[in-house]
Amino acid sequence: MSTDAVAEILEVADDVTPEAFAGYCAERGWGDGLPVVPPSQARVAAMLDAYGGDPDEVVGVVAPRDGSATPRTLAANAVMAGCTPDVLPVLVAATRALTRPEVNLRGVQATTHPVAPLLVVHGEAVTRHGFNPGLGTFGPGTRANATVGRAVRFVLMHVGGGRPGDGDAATQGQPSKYTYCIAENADASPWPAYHRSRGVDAPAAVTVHCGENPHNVHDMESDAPERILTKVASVMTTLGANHAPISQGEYFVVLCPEHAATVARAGWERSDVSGYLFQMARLPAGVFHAAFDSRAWAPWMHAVHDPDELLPMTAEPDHVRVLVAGGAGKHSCVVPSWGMTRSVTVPVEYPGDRGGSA
Amino acid sequence: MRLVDPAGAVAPPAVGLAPGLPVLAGRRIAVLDNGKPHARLLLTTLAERLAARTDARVTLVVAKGTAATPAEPDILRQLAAADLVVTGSAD
Repeated sequence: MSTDAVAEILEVADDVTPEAFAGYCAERGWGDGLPVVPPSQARVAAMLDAYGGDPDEVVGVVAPRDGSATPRTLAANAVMAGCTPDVLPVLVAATRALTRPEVNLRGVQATTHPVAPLLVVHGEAVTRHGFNPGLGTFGPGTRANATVGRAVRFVLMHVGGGRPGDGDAATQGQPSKYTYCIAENADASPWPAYHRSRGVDAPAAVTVHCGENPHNVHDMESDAPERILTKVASVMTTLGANHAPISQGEYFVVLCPEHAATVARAGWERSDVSGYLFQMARLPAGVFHAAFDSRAWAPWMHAVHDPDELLPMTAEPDHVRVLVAGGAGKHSCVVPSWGMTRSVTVPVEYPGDRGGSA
Repeated sequence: MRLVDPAGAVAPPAVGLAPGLPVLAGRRIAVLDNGKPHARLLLTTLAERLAARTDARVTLVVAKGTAATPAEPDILRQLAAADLVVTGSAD
């Protein structure tokens, strides 16, 4: 498949050394500071051949540069990130999700907040591409998790123009801006797959949630849901996260299989977890009022004037999203939101499969 | 080795820039407070000093809902009545 169409063609020596290519990337503002794979025409062609769809379809427009993300351009970024040729459909789906208006990608890219999109892979895409949903899903160690997450960041940097100091104003950044991709451990989950719980009826899907690094929740002792989830609520209840002044933010609560099993053994559904956390993760209204002059809250929260009345960290229980990932052990985590963004879940489509989309 | 540029093409702009105003005398200046701390004070002071120097007048000071999202349609309709809008982006 030709890679000559549309995208700009550049040349380096066939025997370019890693050191020389690192210098080349630095001159052009490419990459994340770590070594990258040269996006050669041959490597990009191999990825597009595996993809099987229209290489020049505009999958999305990536703010703030408003670059057009086509499978060809996405493939170049995926190659640079070290992806295997088969994963392009996942990156295409991730880009479709990130460029949905409700994500507010322009804000996510440009803010001084350290926000990074967390990519969660669901369903058949997990095993098809070798994503790790178990031990160490957040890293390090699995090529698919590491490189697809890195490819997402490259798309945001190269296509979207979100480079530190130029399009990305994050004051400090955060490690998840290098790569931030996990897989849902549906086999170990007592509840339906997350994407199906959100109404995405597809064999494979991805979710993007723009937020902070994960915050660990450690409980080694409890055999009842409340003791585990009270700790989760404690991690959620902080004035330092944007949830405090912004009530529309979603929390992603990633329960390890053992915590999820303890909760489910007591008969709790996913919605019970969300409801409990919504009730428990609260602060007195007076504490919020003292900490923030400006609050982007739901109207009903503004209407509470009693300083001792407890208000939730987010406006409704459905903003607390629950899924299962990880392996053996009793560590779960919370991924707080940047706030002015909504998560999106979309199907992964495989144009190259026999019969069209999967 | 020929490489494929990872940046790709830039989409055509959705809107064009409005033409500048060579003369501000008699013009209406609006202030859009973006919601960041001290934005209203800074932007209103700037607008008032500009108006004083150019014989324009500040006719509207309005705030959008949050700094991180576009202004609401009603806010934009109000601003459309002005000749010049003073606002800020980010912190």
